[in-house]
Amino acid sequence: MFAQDFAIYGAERRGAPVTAFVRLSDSPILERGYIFNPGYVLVTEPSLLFDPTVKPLEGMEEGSVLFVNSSKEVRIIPSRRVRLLQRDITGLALKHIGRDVLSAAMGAVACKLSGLISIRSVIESVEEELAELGLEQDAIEKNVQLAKECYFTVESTGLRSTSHMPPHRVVDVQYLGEKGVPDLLSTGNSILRKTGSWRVFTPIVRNELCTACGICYTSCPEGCISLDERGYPAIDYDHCKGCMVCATECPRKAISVEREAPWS
Amino acid sequence: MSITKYRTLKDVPREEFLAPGTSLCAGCGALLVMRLFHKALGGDVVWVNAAGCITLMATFPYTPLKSSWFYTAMASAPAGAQGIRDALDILIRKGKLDPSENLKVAVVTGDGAASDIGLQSTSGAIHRGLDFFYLCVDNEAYGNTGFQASSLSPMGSETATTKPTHLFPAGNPLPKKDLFEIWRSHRPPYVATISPSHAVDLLRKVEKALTLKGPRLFLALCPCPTGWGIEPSESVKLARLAVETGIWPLKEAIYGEVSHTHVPSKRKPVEEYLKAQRRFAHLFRPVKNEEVIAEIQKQVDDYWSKVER
Amino acid sequence: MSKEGDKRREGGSMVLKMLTGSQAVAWAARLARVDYVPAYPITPQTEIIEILSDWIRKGEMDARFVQMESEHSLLTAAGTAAATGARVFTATSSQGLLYGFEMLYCIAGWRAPLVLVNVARALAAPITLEPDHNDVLAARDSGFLQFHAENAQEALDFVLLAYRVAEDHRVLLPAIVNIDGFHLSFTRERVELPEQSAVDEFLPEYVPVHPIKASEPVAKGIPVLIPPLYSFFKYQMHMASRNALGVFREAARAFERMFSRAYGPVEEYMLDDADTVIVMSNSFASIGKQAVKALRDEGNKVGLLKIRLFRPFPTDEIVRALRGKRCVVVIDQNISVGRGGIICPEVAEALYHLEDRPKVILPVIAGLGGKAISLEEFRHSVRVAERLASLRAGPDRPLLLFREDEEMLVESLLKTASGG
Repeated sequence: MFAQDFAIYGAERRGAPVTAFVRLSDSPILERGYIFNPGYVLVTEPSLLFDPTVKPLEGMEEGSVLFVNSSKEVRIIPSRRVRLLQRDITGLALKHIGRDVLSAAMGAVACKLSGLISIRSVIESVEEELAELGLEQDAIEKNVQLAKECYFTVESTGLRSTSHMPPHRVVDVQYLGEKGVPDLLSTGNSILRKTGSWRVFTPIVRNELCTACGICYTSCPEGCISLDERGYPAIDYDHCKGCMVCATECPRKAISVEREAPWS
Repeated sequence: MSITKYRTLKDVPREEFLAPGTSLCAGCGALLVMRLFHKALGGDVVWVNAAGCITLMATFPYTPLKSSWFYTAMASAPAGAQGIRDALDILIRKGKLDPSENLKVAVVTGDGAASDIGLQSTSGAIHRGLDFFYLCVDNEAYGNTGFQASSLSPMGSETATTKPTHLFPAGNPLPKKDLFEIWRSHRPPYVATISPSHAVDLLRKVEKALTLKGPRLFLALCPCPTGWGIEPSESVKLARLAVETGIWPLKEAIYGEVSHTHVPSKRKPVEEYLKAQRRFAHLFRPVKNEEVIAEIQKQVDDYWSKVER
Repeated sequence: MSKEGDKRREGGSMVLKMLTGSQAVAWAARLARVDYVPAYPITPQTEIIEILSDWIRKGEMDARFVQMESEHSLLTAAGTAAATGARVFTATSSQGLLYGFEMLYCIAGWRAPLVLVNVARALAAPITLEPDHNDVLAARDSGFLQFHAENAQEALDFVLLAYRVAEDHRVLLPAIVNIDGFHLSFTRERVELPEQSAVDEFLPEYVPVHPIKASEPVAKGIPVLIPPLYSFFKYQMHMASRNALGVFREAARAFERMFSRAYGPVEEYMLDDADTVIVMSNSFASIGKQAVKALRDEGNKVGLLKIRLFRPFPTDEIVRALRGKRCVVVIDQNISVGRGGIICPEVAEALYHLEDRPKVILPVIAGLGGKAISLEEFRHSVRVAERLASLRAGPDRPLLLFREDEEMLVESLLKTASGG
C-alpha cells in the first residue's frame, strides 16, 4: 500500500481552520497537491461547512463520505448524494484529554472510515508521532485512548475512489492595466471573515456580575468586545476566536466559558 | 507627564482602527498591542511592515486596517518608512499633495526583523532622524516561521532551533539583546517599552511620543500562546507577570534620559513567570535546573538594583 | 549626428556640452524634475549621486536627497517613495545592485515606476572595477524595463524615455538604464543637452496609481497566498512589460519630434546588405561599429545590431533585422557560468521558428571585466561563424575571446602571484 499526506500551511494561525490531505493507493501515487474530488471529507468544526472561504464540500462526488465532528445534528443538503456521518469528537477529546485537541482523534476516524488501516497501526502511529512531537508519556496515552474510542465509534465505509482534476477550459489571461495592480483599496474588510468558526469555547458575559469596568474590552486582542453607553460589554460572536483572555482578565469572573456557541 | 488623557481604563479610546477577522492566532499579544497602540496613535497612519506574524494581518483581498499598509521586506521596513515620509514631505512642499493628505508613518515589525536582519535599516533611520514611529512586537522568536530563536529570545528558552537536549539542557544559551539600549544609544527623541497588560501606560507613552518629532520607538513584549506554550487565555496574564517579576521593565527614554514608568514594589520571583510557559518547562522537569533559573533571577535583580540605587 | 542649430526644432534650442555618462544621467534626472534621490556610494556609480547631491544642496534642483545605509535600503526607500507618488531617481552598480536585489522584484511587483541607473561593473569574485553585464542582466527577470545605452547622449535620452514609458498607466513598471562603468560613465563626449521646457513638454508630471495619502487608504505589497492570484499578478506584470514595447515606440516618436533623435528598440548599423551580423549592446557597441567599418573595408559584408531595449525584449525588431542573414555573431559581455552568454539564447529563440533563419548563430563571450575587444577578435569571430556556415555546422560551445598577448600577460602575473 502507498500513502501520501500533506497539509496546507497558509497564513492561518493557531486555532484557525487548516486543511490536510491524505491519499491511499495500491499503486505508486503520481498525484500531488490539493485533492479536488475527495472520497472522504472530514470536517472538524460544523461551522466550516458554511464558510465560503473553506468550502469543504466542493468537489465531493456521488457516493463519497462526509464526516462532521459535531455535538448537534448537522443539517446540510449536499448537492449530490453524499453519505453523512457525524460524532461529537470534541466531546470525546474533552473527556480523554481535557482539551480540544483533535488530530489523533480525527486521524483515527479517517483510518477507520477507509477500512484499510487496523487499530494496531493507528495506536502505533499515534504513539510514534506524538513522541516525535515531544509529548510526555501520559499525554500520549490519553491520545491513544481517545484514538481508540474514536476508531470504534465509527464504521468502515469501504469506499474506493480516484481523485482527478475537474475539467476546466484554458483561457487567455486579459491584461487589466492599472486595474491589475495588486493593491487593496478596501479597508477593514477582514470583517467579512467570520473567525467565530475558530472558537471551541465561548465567553458569555453574566450581566448580573458585571461591573462595567471595561477590562475585558481593553484586553480583547481581536476588538470583538464593544461597550454600550453604560460601559457594559457585548461580544461579537461572528468573530470572537474564543481566546478567553476576557474571561481570564475579568476581575469579577463575570465571563463564563461555555462549550456551545449561542449563535448556531 | 503632567497632563494626560489617559488616567484609567475608562479613558481607553473607543474608536477601533482594526477590524476583527484577521488570521492571527487566538490570544495573540501582538494583535492586542497593535489594537491599543493604534487607538492612541489615532487615524491617518501608514503602517510599514517587515515579514513577521503581523504581515498576515492583511492577506489579499482582506485587511483589518482602516489605515494604509505597506509590506516591504524583512530587512528594510524603516527604509520603506523613509521613502514614504520623504515622498509625502516633498510632495506637500512642492504643492503636489494637499497638506490634509499627510500621514503619520509607523513601522511595525517582529523581534527578528527588529533585532537581527533589520537592525542596520533601523539604525540608519534613527541616525537620519526620520520622523516615524517604530513598534516592535516582540514575541521573543521568529514566530511566523515556526518559532526559531531570534536575538531577542531569552536565555534558557526553548525555540524550534534551541531545543533542550542532554547536550544543551538549558535551551537557548544566548542572552536577549538589549534592543532598548541599542536604540537609545542613537539618542532618538523617544524610546519606550510597553506591555499589553498595562494599557494605560501604553497609551500614555504613545500620547507623549505624539508630542515629539523624529524617531519614536516602542518595544512591546507580546506573549505568543503558540510559541510560548501557554493557553491563549493567559497571554495578558503572562505579560503582566513579566512586568511583576521585573523581567519586562516598563520604561522610557526621552533623548536618551531613562525613567521607569512602573517600578514593581515587590517583585515576584521569575520562577513564577518561567514555569507558566512550556518554552521553559525543561528548566523544571525532569529535574529542576536551579543554576539557570538562579542566573535569570540574578540578571533581573542586578538590573533592578541599578535602577533602585 | 546633425550639426548644431541646423534645424529649428520643436524642442527649441539646446546646449552642446562635453559630458561624462555619469554627468549625462545626472542632467537627465535634473531635467526630469525628479522629487527624490535616495543614494548610496559605490564605484563607479558614485559620481552621479555626488553631482545630484551638490545640485540639491545648492538649491539648483528641487528634490530631496537622502543617503541610505545600503543599497537594499536605498531600493526600499526608492520603491515606497515612488508608490507614494514621488518621481524617484537612483543609481547603483554591480555588488550594490546585487545587495539590493530582493527589492528589484518587490518594486516591480508593487508596480512602482522609477528610474534606476546601473553603472555596469563586473561582479566579484574576483573583485574588479571595470564593466561587463552580469550585474544588469542578473536583474533581467525582475520586471524592471531595461534600457542599455551606448554613449552619453543615449544615457541622457534613455533616462527621459524610461520615465515616460515606466510611468505610463499602460505600463507601470520601474526601469533600469544601464551605462557601462568607465567606458561610458567616466568618458566625456559631446552631448546635446535639451531645454528644460522641452523636457517638461515631453515628460508630463507623474500621476501615481493608488498613491499613499490620508483620504484614500490603500494596502500595498500584501501577501497573495492563493496560487492563482500569484500567477495572475505575475502575468499582469509580463503583459505590462510587453505593452511597454508599443508605449516605447510611441514615446520615441514624440521624442524624435521634440529632439530630432530617433530611437528604436534596436539600432541597425550597416545591416542592409550584410551577410554576417554582430549583435551587441551597451558602450562596447561603439567598438563593434568601428570593427564593422574596418571589416567592410576588407571586403566583408558585415553589419551590427545593437539592442537598446533589453526588457521588454524586442523580438519583432530582432527578427526583422536578422531574418535571412547568413550568420549572426552574438557578443555577450557576460557569462552564465556553465552555459555561456545570456543574450545569445534569447536571440536564437527569437529566430528559431523562421524558415529563413540564419545558418549559424555563434555565441561569443567577450569583454568580461572590461577586457578590450580588438579588431582581430571581431574578425576571428566573424570568420569562425562564416566557416561554420560553409561547413553547414553549428558551434559546439561559445567562443571565449582571448588573445595571445593577454595570455602571456596572465602567465607572467600568475608566476609573480605564485612566488615564482
